[in-house]
Amino acid sequence: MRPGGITPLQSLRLAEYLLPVRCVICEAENVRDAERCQHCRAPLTFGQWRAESVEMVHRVGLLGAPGVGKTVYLAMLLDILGQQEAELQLLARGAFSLNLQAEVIPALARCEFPDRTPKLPELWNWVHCQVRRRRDRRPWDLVIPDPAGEALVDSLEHPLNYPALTNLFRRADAAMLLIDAGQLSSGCRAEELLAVKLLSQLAELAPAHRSGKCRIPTAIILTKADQCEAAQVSPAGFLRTHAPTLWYHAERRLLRYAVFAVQIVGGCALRQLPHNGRVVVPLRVEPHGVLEPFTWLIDHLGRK
Amino acid sequence: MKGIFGAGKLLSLGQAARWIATLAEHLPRWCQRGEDRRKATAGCDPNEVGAPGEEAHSPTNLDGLVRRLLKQERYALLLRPQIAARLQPEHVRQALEQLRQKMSLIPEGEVILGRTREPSAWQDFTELDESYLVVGQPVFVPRCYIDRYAVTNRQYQQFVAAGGYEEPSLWDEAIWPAVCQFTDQTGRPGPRFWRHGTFEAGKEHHPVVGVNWYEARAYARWVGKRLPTDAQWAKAACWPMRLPDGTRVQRRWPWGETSENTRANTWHARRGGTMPVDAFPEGQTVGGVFQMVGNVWEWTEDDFTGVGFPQPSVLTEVPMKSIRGGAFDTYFPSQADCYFQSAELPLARKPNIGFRLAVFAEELWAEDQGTEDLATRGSLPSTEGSVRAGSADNSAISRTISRTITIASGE
Repeated sequence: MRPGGITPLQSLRLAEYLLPVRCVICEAENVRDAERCQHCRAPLTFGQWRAESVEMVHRVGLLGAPGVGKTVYLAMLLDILGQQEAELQLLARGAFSLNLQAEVIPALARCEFPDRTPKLPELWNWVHCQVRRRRDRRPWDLVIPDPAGEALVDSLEHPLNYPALTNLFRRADAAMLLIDAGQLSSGCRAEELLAVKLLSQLAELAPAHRSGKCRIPTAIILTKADQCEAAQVSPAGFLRTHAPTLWYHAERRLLRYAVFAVQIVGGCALRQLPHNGRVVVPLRVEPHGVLEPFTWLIDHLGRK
Repeated sequence: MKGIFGAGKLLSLGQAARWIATLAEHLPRWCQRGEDRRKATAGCDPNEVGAPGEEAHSPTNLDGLVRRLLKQERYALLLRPQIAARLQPEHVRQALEQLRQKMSLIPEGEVILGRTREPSAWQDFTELDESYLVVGQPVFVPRCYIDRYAVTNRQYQQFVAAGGYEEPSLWDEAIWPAVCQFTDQTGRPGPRFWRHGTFEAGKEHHPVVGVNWYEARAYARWVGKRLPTDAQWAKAACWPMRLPDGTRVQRRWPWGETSENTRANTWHARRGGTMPVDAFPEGQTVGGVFQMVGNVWEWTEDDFTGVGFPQPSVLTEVPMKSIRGGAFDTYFPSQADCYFQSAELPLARKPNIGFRLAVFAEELWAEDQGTEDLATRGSLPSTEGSVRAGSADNSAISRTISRTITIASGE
């Protein structure tokens, strides 16, 4: 090897190092060595994005109040779509994207719910996967963060505290708004009004259609439908009856939306903890309606 | 013996008064139902279905009555010792034949009721033995019979058409006021997902679903059986054995120790609904019982205690009943094994919960006594004698059967 042969390689590495890595959530530029976006704290480890490929990624916002079931729903969705040879498949990109499944699925098998998602963005699960459909010529990428419900609520009041969420609202290509059907059926308005706040934020920040309505497709998902059979029979009718304000806002502010009911568990009980306190445990896992909202969303997602 | 007669009594005055009060409240609806049922069963073969108490009004045709009971698969009633001892040997033979075909004999013995230990805990033990793998206590189960198949829509329709929902003695007294709400989609008495008093076409051999614990129990009384206890159910499914060295061997799934999607109708079989009760023959138990795992959860007689639940110290806000076996939508194989116990409200009428029935062997005419015994005991006229016997004898037997069917259900 010539003494100077190493020089061009070092130059190449230096040049590569100087190329910024863009965050897929906020599109801020970061140095190559960074693990998280310096601006929004989203991980940069999922797929070392080339600057031009960030625009090709689809972002889906997973929104809902604390305890509504975002984490369990997303984990079950990934688990079901990650194992079936069907029209629609999800393939996790990188070990990082499997963390959510690895935490939630074994817990459900043991009849436990996962711990609450922490408020810190560093501790959220961020899913980056590849969508494969027979009708698409090539697979395409999707990023779905699983934020803490408390962080979502906080971000409505203090958007600057959670730049990842503010950017997600702004740049999302689709959204899933989860709302607890059991709470709605018991007449809890707080649950509905929080969902209205989230929807309103989304409609304000996301790109608008010329009609003034928010143009990103939004699936309104009634979770815990096992506690409320009326929601399973007619999700849209249930929403109209039990959450009229949310329904009115969806009608007025969203260009494309659909209502779905999802059930993951077949019943719940309480577990007495060794010291004081009780936690809710699932009596069995029997998923119903998990794929429908996501399939609808994917069908209505514009290709980039 | 604590048989069906042992605890079976005529309604007490108090019970009767309460029943009358309930009746007065719900009479208009029930009358309408009776009318609906008559319309629904008009033109049916009288041997196929019967009106409530019909047995009591046709005492002279014992042969017809027995035939009808056999056709309705109520052979367990005929095999009650008090009745079998008065029947013709041929009738007993037929009933025994049905018993052998429809039910599996579970030998007496112990079964461990408990939950499987986490694999991570196995390393604590140097020697892996069933008792290390399972956390639980052995429970003794007397010799019993259990249905080879879950109760089907067709079988349940006979109960509905025979007026089972209008027969108070079949129902727990506490539930009388609610029975009129146990209706199908069109307001007729019957399982929740039926329409116009009948099931969806093509599903006659599918397990009946949309029935609550009380409906399952009423049907059990009608056919002279019981809901299985947790221990009976587990013993039939696990088929436990004790080896000569004392080691207990108990299967985790009816076919062995590994979960297999092809042997049971669970979520991963991807059928998306119930299947006929004789599907998945490769998943049957050692005793030839089908679908103890998968297709539908099965009601058991017992309350939910959490004994087979993976989490300790589980409380339910209201008392719940134990269900076992997993269903077509059960996602995890570990929640559809022979140990796993889940719970449901006794009034729940879910699309994935059905039931099968059991009966203690001691409650039935002892099969090994043979039908020859019947004549030698002197309580049963010979076949020739039966032919000569007048309607008075038949009438007495019929009355006994009728009493058994209509009254003696308060076990």
